[in-house]
Parts: sequence; structure tokens; C-alpha cells
Amino acid sequence: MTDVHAPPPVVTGSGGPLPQVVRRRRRPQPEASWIKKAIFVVLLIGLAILFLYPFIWLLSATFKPRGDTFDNALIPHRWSWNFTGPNIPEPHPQYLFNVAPVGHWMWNSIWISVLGATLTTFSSALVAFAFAYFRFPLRNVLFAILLATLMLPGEVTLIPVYLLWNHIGRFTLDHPWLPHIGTGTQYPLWVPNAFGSAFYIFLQRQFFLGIPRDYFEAARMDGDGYFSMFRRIAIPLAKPALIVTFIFEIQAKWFDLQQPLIYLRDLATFTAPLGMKILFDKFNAAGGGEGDYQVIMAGTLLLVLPMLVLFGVFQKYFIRGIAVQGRKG
Amino acid sequence: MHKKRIARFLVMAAAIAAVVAGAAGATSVKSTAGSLNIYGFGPGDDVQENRASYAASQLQGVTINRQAPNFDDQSFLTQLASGSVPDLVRMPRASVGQYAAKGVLQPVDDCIKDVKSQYRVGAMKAMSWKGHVYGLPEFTNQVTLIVNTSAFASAGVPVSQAQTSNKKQLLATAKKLAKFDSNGNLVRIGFDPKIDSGFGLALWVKWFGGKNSDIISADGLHAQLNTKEAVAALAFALQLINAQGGWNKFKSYRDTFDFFGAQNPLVKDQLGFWPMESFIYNTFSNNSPNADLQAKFFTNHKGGPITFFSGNGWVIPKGSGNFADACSYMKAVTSVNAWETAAKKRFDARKAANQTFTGLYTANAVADTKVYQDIYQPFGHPQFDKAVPILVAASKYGFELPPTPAGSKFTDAVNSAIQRVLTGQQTPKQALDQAQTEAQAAIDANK
Amino acid sequence: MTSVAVPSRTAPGPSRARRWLSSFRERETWTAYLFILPWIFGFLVLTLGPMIFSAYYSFTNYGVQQIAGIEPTKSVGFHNYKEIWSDPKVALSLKNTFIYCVMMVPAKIIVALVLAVILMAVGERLGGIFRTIFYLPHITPPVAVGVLVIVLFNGGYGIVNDALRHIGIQGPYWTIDPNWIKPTIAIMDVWACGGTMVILLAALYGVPRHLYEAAAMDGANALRRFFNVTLPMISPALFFCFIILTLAGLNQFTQAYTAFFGAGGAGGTYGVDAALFYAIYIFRNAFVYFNMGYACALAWMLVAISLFITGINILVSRRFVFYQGEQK
Repeated sequence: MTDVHAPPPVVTGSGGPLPQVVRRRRRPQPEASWIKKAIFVVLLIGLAILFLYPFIWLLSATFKPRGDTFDNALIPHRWSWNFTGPNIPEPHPQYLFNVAPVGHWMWNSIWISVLGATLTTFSSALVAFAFAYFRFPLRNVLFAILLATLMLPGEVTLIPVYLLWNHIGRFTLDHPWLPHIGTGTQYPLWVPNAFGSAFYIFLQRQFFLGIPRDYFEAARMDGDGYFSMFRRIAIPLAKPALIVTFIFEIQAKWFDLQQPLIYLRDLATFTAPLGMKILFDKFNAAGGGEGDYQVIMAGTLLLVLPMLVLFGVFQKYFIRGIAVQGRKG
Repeated sequence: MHKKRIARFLVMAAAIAAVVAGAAGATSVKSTAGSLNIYGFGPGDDVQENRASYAASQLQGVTINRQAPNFDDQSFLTQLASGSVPDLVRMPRASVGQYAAKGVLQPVDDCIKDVKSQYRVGAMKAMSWKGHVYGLPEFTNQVTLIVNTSAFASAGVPVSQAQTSNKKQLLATAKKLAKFDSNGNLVRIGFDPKIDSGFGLALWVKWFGGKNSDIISADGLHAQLNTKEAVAALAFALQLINAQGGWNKFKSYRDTFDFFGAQNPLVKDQLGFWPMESFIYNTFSNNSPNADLQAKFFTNHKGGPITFFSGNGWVIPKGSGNFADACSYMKAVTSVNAWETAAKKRFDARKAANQTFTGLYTANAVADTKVYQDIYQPFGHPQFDKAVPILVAASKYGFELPPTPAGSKFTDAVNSAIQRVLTGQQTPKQALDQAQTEAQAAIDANK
Repeated sequence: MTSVAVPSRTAPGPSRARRWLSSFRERETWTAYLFILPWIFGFLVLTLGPMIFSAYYSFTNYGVQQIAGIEPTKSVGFHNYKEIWSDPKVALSLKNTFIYCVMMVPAKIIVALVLAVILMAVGERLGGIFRTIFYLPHITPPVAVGVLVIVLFNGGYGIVNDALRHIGIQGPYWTIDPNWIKPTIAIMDVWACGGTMVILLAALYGVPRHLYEAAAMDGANALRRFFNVTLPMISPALFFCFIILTLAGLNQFTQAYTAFFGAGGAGGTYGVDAALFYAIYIFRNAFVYFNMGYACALAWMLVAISLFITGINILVSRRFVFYQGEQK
């Protein structure tokens, strides 16, 4: 993640090479003249409005009453709080938290995301460190296999993994003294995270490779065991990579529709994206639903907001994490 | 210390996860005798709840669990695969043949011997496969024409022209009732043939009468989707829609309707006349008791009434933990007593609220007769009262699709074909030829 | 990347093979394998094992009766693969997926590149806030994107057609007209091009400044500098984005499923032919119809296609991608 490119020496009019750039994220680039900049800024403002408009529309529609959802007014003509309210059946307009266990859904998504992200961060760190630091036979072969799995379409493992959980489920049903684990539970959503993930292993390995070996050798000289060296030296130094892994996996879990769709059955166990999809089906007139679009909009806002908050807090890690991917070369 | 904090957090997280997941998984357990796990019969309207209470009262000492979600093919198959099979299932009758052919349902011939004669033949046929009966049917949801009389009045068209036998006149009436605004957008649909609904193609093909008027053969093994009659039916529906703005405008406008609210298409003058299932009368009388409507028969080419039945049926899957209680519940919840109890309670509630009771239309013919004779009384709102006899009479002319092993793939083939025709990608003949191939392949693969 | 140190062949002592074998006895080796054990276990149980089973099931009639134990699993030879060949929905879903990729990938890269160029031109401070704005759609959950597609692009009263009407254009029925469904999804994907934009922006900043100066001294104007300096220098990043986006396009599921396919419940599925992407078709075969054998065969088809396309991309890249440090 550190930019240690050294620019080749160039003979300029003033003689001598350009200064070496270490640990800076970018080089200064020639900026356009101020006229060009002004035009670009105006263009950017226009584009920014275009890009932001769906969010603004969503925010506005969330607070409109049923029937006004599509009036496309920027500021609602009539205001309506659609999240909570009295539980009166149709034809009275419905409220989001009355029609579905939305609180459960949000909580499920939160704990599954955090748990899964934690597991994957540390399991990937273990593996990444090993590939970066240790010398051992078959290392290159195994790493090549790991890279190859990055290209694999998910569908080819989707079905057998589901069948595997299915078998586990039947087994636990036949032995009622075991807790029920299998399809229909939430275990399949986070247990695979305990085994690392090729993408994050790759990302973190890049990072570990950038740490000079001397740091680790020093610890070994002091008699540290391998694992304690990993824990005391590698992990703290790798904090940026770990944070990137953590937030990327939270985002991945918060986005995922397919896994909850195939594994979860009971409404209260749903995660937020699956829940919102169910709400959308139920209240969407085009699909045969009942037309309470204000509920759909409120739910969608709840789905989007945590991601915006996450991004707001960890912005530089998001950007850094994405940018470094393009440099793998 | 760093590591300890991480470890503690992980342990805590894992513990929370285990507890939450454990609580969530609590409903997926194997059932035992003395308990009944029912799928597809969740919370519903007053009639549903009253029938459920009645059935529960007939099964004293049995713990009954009604799972909340509606029936869903995917969910049902998932349950079958995962080993946590429900004891009793309520599913659409159109799916029964498919699952019976797959061998995942248990025949109930002996168990229902004593009550079989109460139920309508067409509906019972849909619950049978290869000589065995697999359950009992619920509603009939027969289709009649609903006429928005105030729309006809404002358009200056006599209600007598709201008919389906004379297609030329039907087309003309639809055009007269359709209204457009200055931008060319629809503000009222004249006639919606409902070709893309569950009963659409089947009903319009039945219109022709005679031997080619079914889209599946009686034994459920031969699709009959590209007959001359089927092509003509689909072509006529397309002609109707194109005369009223074309599919894009038509569908877009129809998507804005709120059938189940107080601002329904009758009240907002959005529809002239259209065929629909019987439950909508109840919804309308509840939400808009003063709306002006008239019920008429959907008639075939000779002017005779026809109607289409659809609805749910009760089945017992293989692997059910409690066959005996499941069968008793099934019989109880579709029994004459259950329907009468529910009907009486609804009637009383409607009377107290000064609304109309529009009757109940079930597959239990004995129950229907008793409800109509003993419980039903006209009061309140004449337009709904006049609809009831039409609905009652329509039951005599009902037909239902024979069971087929292709189930949802058959419906998918039909629906996709209809969509392709409506969006202008294929002609009716091309689309139905393709549907025929797909449907027959599905039937052959599963029989 | 440093590799295992290997002494020369002619050095005295044990042979290379014996040294390699004996390295298994070292503590470092055992520790390393312990460290990577989680991944090895996961790879065997959740990747390699399933791949083998998936291949096996694709030659059987595995379905719900087999899973439930009602009927035995039978081998059907190549029947599933032959059926793929004759299944019109396979051709349809592949066609849909390819058309969508062809629309989405270049559009996303071009728009991202244009935005990145503009952002770089206005400098870091001003560019920073706009970069955040353009990145926001990238972190919008795809389910939300699917919902927004349906509500914003509604032909009759959606805001997109509303805006078009104000400038006198009669917009199409984006979500109903089969010719416009895939472009609509592609448009929303382009809206979420923030991730690609950030990668390309970082790549743009990595172009050595002296190259621009050299080109300017040779008399190249801005446009020629762009094509002859910028593009080649960022070609690794472009290539990377191209591959990633293509693979993502081949696997398109969530937005299209949310917008055009029902998850059951209220009236079953309301699928639309024009939005039947390949991944959705695999999903339906596996989890709606429970034709597991057929679905596995379909999944292997996708692997073959992905490998083929990635292979072509790599071959093409040999000609067009320029890595720093190579001879020009």
C-alpha cells in the first residue's frame, strides 16, 4: 500500500535528478489552467447532481405518504412518517416496522456482517502472513491455486455447498440433541468466513510483503515463537490492511442477496437485503402487490443508510483499498 | 491486551451468534405425534381465522403450529430437501399434480372417503393424480364480469353491451369506454381481458367450446397450447389491448391501480369492465360499499355462462410426522361446519358495520348451499346483493385445469408466451408454438 | 517475491530432491502449514470438494426426490449437457448476459475514465469531494439499486421520463419494453462506476510527469498526449478493470433478480424473458425447480465460458497492455 516507486533520474535544465518520492500517495500533476478548471468544476457540479439525485429522490420519497410517492416533487408536499405508526390493517396505509420484523433484519445483518468480517480478517491475515513471510515447499503452487480460485464463478460451488449444509441439517435433525445447523439457519452465512478468503489473503499478502523482514527477524532473535511474532509485530503493522479487509467484508455481507435467499426460511432470520427484497415483492403493484410504496422506500433507505455511515467513517480505507487493487500489476 | 480483547470479542460474538441462530432455528424441528406443523396457512382474514379456530377445536389435545408465510414452491421444496417436512400443507391446486407426480405427496383416498361427495367434481379432479386423491380443495374463486356502471353511464353506453359473447361488439364497447388524456395517456381502461392473469388464456380458449377448448388434455399429459382456438384467443386479447393504447401504456397505467384499498379502480373510474375472481366483491364491499357495480356472467361464443375455478388445496407430504391428525384437520377446516361458522361470523360483523355480506364460494358444494340458504340475507347495498346470485349460479358452470406433472414449468411457458406476444416480440402463433414445445417437454420430463 | 533459496546444482552435499523433501521436517514448514490450514481446509471443503461433486452431479438426475431419499440417484450420462444444447432458455440467458456485458463494461470504463480525468484536472482538493460523491453509488446495496431501477425508470410516471418530457423527448418504457430492460440495468451499473473510477484515478496519478513534459516538448497536444502517453501507461489498470467487470457482468444476479424476478410469496415469480441472466437461470433451476443435476451442468458451462473469455482477454492484453519497466 505504500508507494515506493523511485522515479528514474531525468536530466532537466536545472541539472540533477528529481527528488525521490517515498511514502506519498501521489505525485503532483500539472493542473489545468484556471479557465479550464472552472469549466470542469461546473461540469462536475452538474454530474454530481445527476449522481446524487437517486439518493435525494429516495430520501424525499421516504417521507411522503402513500399515493404521493411518485409525484417526483423534490420537497414532499405532504409529510409522512412511514417507519412506525398505529397497526391498522389495509386499506389504511401501512408502516414499515409493523409489516415485517425489520428490526430483526437490521440486527441480523449487523451481527452477521461483523462476525463474518472479524473471522475473515483474522483468518485471512494468518494465511496471508504465511504466504508472505515463511519459506516452505509448495508455497508457489498453493499460491497459484489460491489466485486461480479468484477467477471461479460462484455458481459452480453454490449448489454443492448448499447440499453439504443440507446434509448437515438432516444429520442434526436426526440427532435432536445436536443444535440445528444447516439450511434454514444462519450458520452457512458466516461459518465459511472462518477459513479465509482468497481475495483478502491476496490483498493482505501484498501488504505483508511490503514490511521489511528485519522487523520480524528482530523478534525472532529475541526468542519469540512464530505465532507470537505474528501477533505482536505483524498484526499491528498490518492494521490498515486489516481494516480494509474488515470494512470490505462488511460491505460484501450487507450487499449479499443470493446466500440469504437460498439458506434462510423463517422471516425473523432474514438479513436486511433479503428482507427488503421480500418487502418490495409484497408491496410492489407491478408484481401483484398492494401498492404501499412508502413502506418500500422507507425500507430501502434503511438498507442504504448504514453503508453511507460506514463509508463516512472509513472513507480513506475504502478509497485506499480500491486504489491498491489496480496496482497489483 | 490486544490479543485478549480480540479473543474475548470473538467468543462473545460466537456466543451471541449461537444463541440467536439457535432461537431462529427453533421452528425447524421434526414433529411428533400430538403436534401438527402446517405450512401455507398463515394468518389471514376473518374467515380464515374462524375456520382455523373451528378446526383446532375439532382436534383437542393436538398442538397446532401454523407457519406464517404463504405457500412458495421454492420454500416447500427446500423443506422437503432439508428433512424438516411440514405435516400438512395448503398449496395452490394447480401445483398438486406436479408434486403428486414427483411422488412427494401421500394419497388420502381412505381417509376422506366419508366426505368426498360434498366437494365439487372439478376441484376434486385437480386434487387427483393417476387414480388417487391427494387432498381436499378450498375456495373456487370463480370468475365473473364486473361492470363499472358509472363508467358506462358517463360514456353513454348501455350496460347490456358489457358482454363477452359477441367479440366484435366487445371490441367496440371496450373502445368506447377507454378514455385518453390530451397527452395520449390512458385515464380509463375500457375492458381488461386479463390475459396475463392465472385464468386468462384458459378462460378465453374455453370461450370457443367444443373439443379444442382446453389448454391441457383431460389426463394432463398433452399440452394443447397452439391450437387454432388458443392462437385466436391470444390474438383477440392482443387486439383488445392494442385498441386501448397498446401494451406499454396499458400495463403502465394498470400498475398504478390499488385494488385492495379505498382508492380502487371502481372508485377512481379507472376500469370499465373486466373479469375477476369472486373474492374481489368482498374486498370492494368492504372498502367502497357505495361503489356502483354490476356482476355479469362471462359468456362463451354461444352466450352460455362459463367460469374458471382456482384456489388452494390441502395435501399431506411424504415424511409428514402426523398423518392421522393432518387428515382430520384437513377435513375439519374444509367441512360444512367450518364454512358455516365462518360465514355466520362474517355476516354478523358485516351487518353490525352496515356493510354487505357477499357470500362465500367454496369447493364444498354442500357448504355453499347451506351458507346461501341458511345464512345469507340481502341487505344494505343493492348492487352487491344483486351480484350474489350471479356468483352462486356461476359455480354451476365452472371448470378447472386438469392436474399436470409439469406444474410451474407449464405456467411459466404460458406466461412467457403471453408476455412475448404483448410486448410485440412474437406473433401469437409463434409464441404459442414455442410454449407448446416447452410445456410438452416439461410434461414429458416429469411424468 | 522471494522464492525458496536453492543452492547451486554443483554444490557438494545432498541432492536437490532430498533437500526439498527434508525441508518438510523443518519447524518453519510445519508452522507455515499450520498458519495456512484454515485456507486449505476451506479450499478442500468449500471449493475443491464442491467442484468435484458439482461435476459428478451434472452427470446424474439429482433432484428433490433424490435429496429427500424418495428415489435413488441415477446416472444419466451426458443427458444434462445435451439438454443445455437444446434448451432455448440457455441460449436466451446467454444472449442476455453477453449483450449486457457488451453494453456495461465499455460504458462503465469509459465513464469512469472520463470522470477520473476530469477529477485529476481540477486538482486534489476540489477533486476530493467530487470523488466522494461519485463513489457513493458504488456502496449502494444492489437490492436498493434494483428497487431504484423500477421506481425511477417507470415508463409512465418515473422521474427519468418526467425529466425527458421536460426537454421534449418521449422516453421509452424502460422497465417493460424488452428492448430497454438490459440498457436500463446497464445504466444503473454505470451510475455505480465509482469503484472503477477510483482505480483509474490512482492509475492516472501514477503516470510519471516527465513523460507528459517530454511529449509536450515533442509538440504533442493534449489529445495526442492522452492517447500516446496516458492510455498506454494506465493500460494495466484498464486491463484489470476490464477483466473484473467482465467477470462481474457474466455473474449478474442481484439487481436483475430484485427488479424483475419475484422471490415467491406474493403470487409467485413474475419473471421477464429479457432480464433472464445466466446466473438467474442457474439459480432458478437449482433452487426453484430443484433440478440440481441440470443446474450443476449449467454452472460448469459458465466456468468454461468464463475461462474462455478471460483467456481471450489475456491474449489480447499481451498486445495492448504496457507494463512499466518493460522496453517500449
